[in-house]
Amino acid sequence: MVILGLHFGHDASIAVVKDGRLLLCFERERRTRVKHVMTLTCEDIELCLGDVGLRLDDVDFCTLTSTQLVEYVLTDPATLSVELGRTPEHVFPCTLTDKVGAGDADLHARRSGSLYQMADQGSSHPYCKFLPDLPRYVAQKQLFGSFEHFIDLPLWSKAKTLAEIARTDYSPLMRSDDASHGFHYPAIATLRGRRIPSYIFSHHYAHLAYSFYDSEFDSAALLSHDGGGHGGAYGCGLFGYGRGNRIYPLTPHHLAAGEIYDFSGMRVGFDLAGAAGKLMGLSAYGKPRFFSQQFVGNWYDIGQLPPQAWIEHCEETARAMGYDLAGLGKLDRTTEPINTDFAASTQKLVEEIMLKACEALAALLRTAVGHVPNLCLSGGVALNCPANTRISQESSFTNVYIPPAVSDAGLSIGSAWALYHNMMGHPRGALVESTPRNAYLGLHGSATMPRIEAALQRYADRVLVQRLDDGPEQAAKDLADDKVIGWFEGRSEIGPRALGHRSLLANPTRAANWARVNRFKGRENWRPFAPAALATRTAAYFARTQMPSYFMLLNADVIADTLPAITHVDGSARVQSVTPDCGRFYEVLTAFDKLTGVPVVMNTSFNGPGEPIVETPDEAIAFMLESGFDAVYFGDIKVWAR
Amino acid sequence: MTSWPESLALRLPAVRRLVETRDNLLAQTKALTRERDEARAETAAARSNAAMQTLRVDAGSTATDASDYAPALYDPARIPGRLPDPNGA
Repeated sequence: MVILGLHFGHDASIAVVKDGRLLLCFERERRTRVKHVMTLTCEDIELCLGDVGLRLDDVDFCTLTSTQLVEYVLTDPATLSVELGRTPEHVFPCTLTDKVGAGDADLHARRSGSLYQMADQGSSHPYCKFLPDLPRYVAQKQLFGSFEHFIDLPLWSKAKTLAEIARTDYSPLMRSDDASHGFHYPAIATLRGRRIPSYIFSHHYAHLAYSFYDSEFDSAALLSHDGGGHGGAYGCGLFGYGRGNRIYPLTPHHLAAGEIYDFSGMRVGFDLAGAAGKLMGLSAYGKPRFFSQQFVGNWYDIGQLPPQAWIEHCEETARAMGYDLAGLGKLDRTTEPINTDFAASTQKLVEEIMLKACEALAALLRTAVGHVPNLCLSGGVALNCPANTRISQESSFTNVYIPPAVSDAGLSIGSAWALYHNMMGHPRGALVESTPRNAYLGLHGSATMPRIEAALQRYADRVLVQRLDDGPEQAAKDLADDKVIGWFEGRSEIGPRALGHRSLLANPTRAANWARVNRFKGRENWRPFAPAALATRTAAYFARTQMPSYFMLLNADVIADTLPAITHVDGSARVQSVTPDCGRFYEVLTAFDKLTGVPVVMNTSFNGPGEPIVETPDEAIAFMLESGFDAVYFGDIKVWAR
Repeated sequence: MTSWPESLALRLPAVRRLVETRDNLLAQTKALTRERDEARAETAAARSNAAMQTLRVDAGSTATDASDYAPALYDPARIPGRLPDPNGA
C-alpha cells in the first residue's frame, strides 16, 4: 500500500508512505531554491518516488492538503490536476458523504480561496514570494479549491472561551466516528493521465496526525495552532486526542497567538516569511513591559479583538511610558528598546496564551478520559522554543513531543498517515522512542558519491580537495583551530532546523564566532546561534529543559560560562542533543570533545540569507565560495577554496 | 520456562553469572522506571491542581445535549469571525 502525501500550500512537500512506513519527505523549496515555495509539479513527485525505487503506477492513494483557504495552484494541468470525485477504491469512512450526505456541489458552494482575490494586487500579493509566477496562474485560472471547511457541530459554536471549552464534555466525540472521520473528502488526482483515488484533508487535522503518529505515545493530547486566522472555526487550529491508531479532533480552540505573533513580527519590520523566527530571537533582548493579562486567552476570552488591537495596546502603553516610537519597525533600529520590548512583550503573551490553552486541553481531557500525561504539539506556533519549553516545564503535561517538520512541511506526512491509520484502520505497530532519524528524510540521491564527485569536477578550477581516512576527526581539528566549516552528510533534514546533515559549524567557545558566522550567512548581527551537544553530556552545560531535545525545538539555560558563541543574551540556548543516530555528525562532536574537552559545537543552517538550506553538493560548494567560510566536509572529503 | 539450549547453557557457571547479571539489571531498570513514573505522576498532579485553579474550571460541566454533537457540513456564515488573512501564513 503506497500513499503519496502532497502538500500544495507554502512549504510544499511530498511524503511517501509504504505500508505505514515513512520512506521520504521532501520539501520542494530545496529543489526550486525559493524559500517556502508553494505548489508541486509532477516532476517533483516522480523525483521523490524514484528516489525510493517507486513509480507513479505503484501509488495506491494520494492525500492532499494546502494552506488554509489557499487554492491548489496547478502549474501544468496536463501532468497534474485535481478534482472532486470518487472511484471504486473510495471505500473508507467519510462523515460528510456517509452521514451528512454532502455532495460535491455542497462542497463547491462553500469553496473559498484567497488567490482569486489577488487580481488587483498582482505581483505585490504576499504569496508571490512563495511562487513568483503566481499572477499568471491566477489569470489562467489554474487553481483548484480551496476546501478547508469540513464538519461542524453545534457544540463548537457554544464552547467559546478557554474556560468554557475546559468544562465541556467532549467524550461523545470519542465514542463516535463522526469527528474522527469528518475532516477529509474524496477527490481524484490525475498524474500523467493516471487517475489516483485521493482524499483532501483538513490542514489542522493533518497537523494533529503528523505530531501524534510520529510520537512514541500510545495516547496523547493534541494541540495544533498556527497563524491561519482567528475566531472562525478551525482555521487557526484544533484540540484533539490520539489513542492507538485513532485521531479524535475535539474542538476548535479559537486561539489567536499565531496571528498575533506574525502581525507583531511584521510591525517590528520583518518580512512575513521570517518574521516569527526573528521576533523570537529579538525578544531575548527586551523586557515584557507592555504585557497585559487582558490579552491572554482565545479570541472569545479577549473580546473578539483582532491582532491589531494587541499592537495598538503596545504602542499606546509605550507612548505613555515615554518610549521613542520613531524607531518601531525600522530595520536599522531593530535593537532599540521600543522594538526589543515590543518583541519581549509579544513573546510573553504567546507563552501565557499557550500555557492557558494547554490547561484547557488537559482539563477537558480529564473530564473525558482522565489524566493524560502526554502532549503532541504541531503547527507553526510549535516552532516557538521558549513557549514549548514553558509548556514542558509548567503545564499539566509531563511528556511533550514536537516533531521536526512541525511547520506546514509536515502536512504531507500527517495526511498520509491519517489515511493509513485512522481511515484504513491499520495499527501503528510497535511504538519506538523518538530518534534523530525522524528528521533525516530527504532525498537519498542528493548526497551520493557520484553526485559529490561530479560537483568536485565542476568546481575543479576553484577548489582544492583532500581525501581523508578520518573526516570527522579532521573536521573537529579544524573547529578546534577556530575554522568555520560546512558539514554535509546523507539525507537532508525535514523542517526548518539544520541538524547536522546540512550544517555550518563553528567553535562555541570563541565569542567572536557569533558575529563572524552571522557575517558569513548575511544575517543581522544580533541574531543568536544554537548548540549541538553530545546527548550524554548535556547535563553539565544545559539545564531546565526536557532532554533529550533532538530537533532544536526547546530552550535550555546555559549553565557553563565557556560557550559564549551559543549563549543568547538572556542565558538561553536552543539545544540539539546528538546521538549516534545523527550519523557521522556524532563522530565530529566526539572528536571535538576529545580535542578540547567540550562536547558542544555551534550548529547553524547551511544557507545564505533568505535561501533554503542547501540540498546538493554543488549548492554547498557554491555557498562556501560565495560566503568565504573555511571548508566543506563531505564526510571524508574536505573541500576548500583555492 | 527455560528453553532447551538455554537450559544447557545455564549449566556453565559463566553463562549463569551473565544471566543473573542481566536479570538484576532488568529488575533495577524496572524499579527505576517505576520510580520515574511515580515522580512524574506526582509532578503532574501538582501541576494539574495549580492549573485547575488558574482556569477556575471546577464549577461543573457546560450543559450539552445529544443535538450538540450532530455533524453538519461547515457553514462559513454560521460562526462569526474574520476569515484567515492571506497575509497571515
